[in-house]
Amino acid sequence: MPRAIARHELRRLLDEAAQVVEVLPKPEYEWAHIADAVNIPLKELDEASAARLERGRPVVVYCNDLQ
Amino acid sequence: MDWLSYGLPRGGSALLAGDVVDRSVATCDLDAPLGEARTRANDHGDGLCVVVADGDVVMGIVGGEALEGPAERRAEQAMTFGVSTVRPSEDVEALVERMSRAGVDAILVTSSDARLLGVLRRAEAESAARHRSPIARGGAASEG
Repeated sequence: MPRAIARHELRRLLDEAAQVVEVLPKPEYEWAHIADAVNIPLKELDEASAARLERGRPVVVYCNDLQ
Repeated sequence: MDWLSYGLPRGGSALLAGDVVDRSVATCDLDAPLGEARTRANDHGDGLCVVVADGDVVMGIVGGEALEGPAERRAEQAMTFGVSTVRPSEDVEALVERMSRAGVDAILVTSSDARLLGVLRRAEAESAARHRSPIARGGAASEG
């Protein structure tokens, strides 16, 4: 079940090897992204693209405002 | 992007204000004597002292002629209030262009809650942009 998190919780999740996904378009991802985040642009986010992610590990999804 | 101001590790090609900020900058409290602010500014060599509250919340700056006032005057009385600041997430090339147009040689870098991170000097930022490399310098100010 998705829920919003604050940055201190993000740091904790990163330490616990959470998967991070940036959903902005590729050019913006290439300009800057959270280290180790993968890029799945929102328009491309579907069952097939999400299959890249590992089940059982937390997934953090973010956009411009880390929301 | 606001998350870039949180100090999280990042990848990508961007050169941001936080990469070229000088975190060593003279600061003083609101009620500090102007003589103290002057000494600190001179010790740092850039003729500027940032007036802070609660340790690092920017309230104003004292520089130039204002630093030359009576030593017993309080920094709060001499400071310029409402100074321009930028976030560490600002793109350096775009920022340098704006600073050049405005004739600004240096600008404070703060977090989104007004906490001082340091000062960005246009000459250094221009150099970093030309060489596309960050300038890593430590100092007293840190992101919280």
